[in-house]
Amino acid sequence: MKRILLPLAAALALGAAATADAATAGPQNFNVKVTLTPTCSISQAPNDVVFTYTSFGGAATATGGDFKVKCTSGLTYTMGLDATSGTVIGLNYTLTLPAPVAGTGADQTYSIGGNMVAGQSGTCAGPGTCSGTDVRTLTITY
Amino acid sequence: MTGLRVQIAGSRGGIVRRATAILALLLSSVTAQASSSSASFGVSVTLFPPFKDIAACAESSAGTNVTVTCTTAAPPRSDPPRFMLELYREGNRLGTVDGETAPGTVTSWKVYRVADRDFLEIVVGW
Repeated sequence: MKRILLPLAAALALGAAATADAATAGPQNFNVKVTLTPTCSISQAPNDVVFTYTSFGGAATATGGDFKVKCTSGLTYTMGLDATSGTVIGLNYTLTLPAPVAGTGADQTYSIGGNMVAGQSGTCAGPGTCSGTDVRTLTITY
Repeated sequence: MTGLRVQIAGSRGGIVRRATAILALLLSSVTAQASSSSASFGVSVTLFPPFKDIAACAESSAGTNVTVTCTTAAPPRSDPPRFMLELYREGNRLGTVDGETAPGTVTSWKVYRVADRDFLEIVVGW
């Protein structure tokens, strides 16, 4: 009886070993590693901020100044101007920027606001209208 | 001899540790450094000379009719009076029309659209 049982036990043990071998050859997990460098760019530069002002006239609000920013989704950034005020042909103006929202991965449209207070003289030899231009720089930091 | 060897190993370890720390600091400063993007734009200003004759105008409306009455204390001018219109469409300022007209009184004006163009019609009587 013992002679028969022993070979059977050996065969079972071999079978178990074979089963264990098959299990180790099964699916294995591995990591997929992604490194993302977030970025931001001015996808459309601002068009001109335009003022029309009448000497000694009322306050003026600028038109134009629209621009677009494209940033990685979720990326926070700030926007700034090299100067928020200036003088052109003797007229003082101020510029404002809206508060930015986090990047969405798509173009985000903003507009630079401009204002001139009332009652300014300006400098103009006349007799017609005068015009002048200042150059400003918009910077986004992220 | 063994003690000396340990001492040297310790020094190297210290150097390595210091170098690693410096590298980590450098890397962290690079990571923390902000990036930026810039673009230039123009601030354009057009200045009109002051109006010499200031008129005070008031508007009143009745149904579809709007009446604008202007009065001025200034004496009549010998040169033609100027008028300036600021044009808007859907809240956006399109521009300014600066023109001259003969002395007279505006009796009516209206805006009408033909095809894709808007016309301003001003009738002046004198």
